[in-house]
Amino acid sequence: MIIVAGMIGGLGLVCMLSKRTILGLLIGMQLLILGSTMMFVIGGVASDRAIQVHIFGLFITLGGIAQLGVGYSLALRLFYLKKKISLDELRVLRQ
Amino acid sequence: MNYVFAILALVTATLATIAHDLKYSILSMWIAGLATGAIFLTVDAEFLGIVQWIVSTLVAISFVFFGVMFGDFESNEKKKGKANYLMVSCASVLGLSFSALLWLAMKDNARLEITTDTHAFEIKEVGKALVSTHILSLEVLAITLFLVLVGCGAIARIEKGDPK
Repeated sequence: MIIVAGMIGGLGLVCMLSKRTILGLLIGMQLLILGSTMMFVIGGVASDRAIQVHIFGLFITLGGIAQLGVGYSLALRLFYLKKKISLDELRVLRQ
Repeated sequence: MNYVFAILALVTATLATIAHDLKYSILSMWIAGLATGAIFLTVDAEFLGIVQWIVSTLVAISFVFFGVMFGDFESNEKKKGKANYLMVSCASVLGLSFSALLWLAMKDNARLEITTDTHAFEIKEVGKALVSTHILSLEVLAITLFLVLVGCGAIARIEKGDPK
């Protein structure tokens, strides 16, 4: 089961590196966080630390939501400035 | 049973990664989140499972909103050329290395076979631990989320000199 969590995290990394838009990047980030949460939960439950797993799994999930919020605001800023959310020509977020 | 959900999560995560259409990526990511929540349920982490279901659904809905707003549903990420294949190949190698690294780091620290009858506990213990032992972590998380809320507004607001 742990290898599955690692593979989901790895797929998230692949998604982050291969997608060309901010939304694709954020989808990869969510998969990466999903894999890390799953690895934390599986490893913790198997080690008889169920309460700590619940608490820190919750923290990881909420941290992921915070990152998603920042990603959305960056996408909004980029869309306002460039009228697109492609990352190919992105150098700065200020004109 | 958790192996069925694990295969489902793996397949949908792969689809989310390789899909060129944003709609399919979002749908696959949502199903991967639901399958992961189901895995949490099968290993006696019910609270996290339900939180994962709620978060995955809200994240998928927000992706749909932003995808529609940016007009990204109409675009297609398919690109031609050797550079794109090289990029995907390098990303795949990096992803596989990352997976192997995570597995190597974790395999000695936990038993791979999970038995669900040895660590039963009541969910109220989570709440008690959260407000007693881990209260500082909770405060740091709350302040972080508040700062993120303020920062998001600061990043996305229109500034002087911006194009109209």
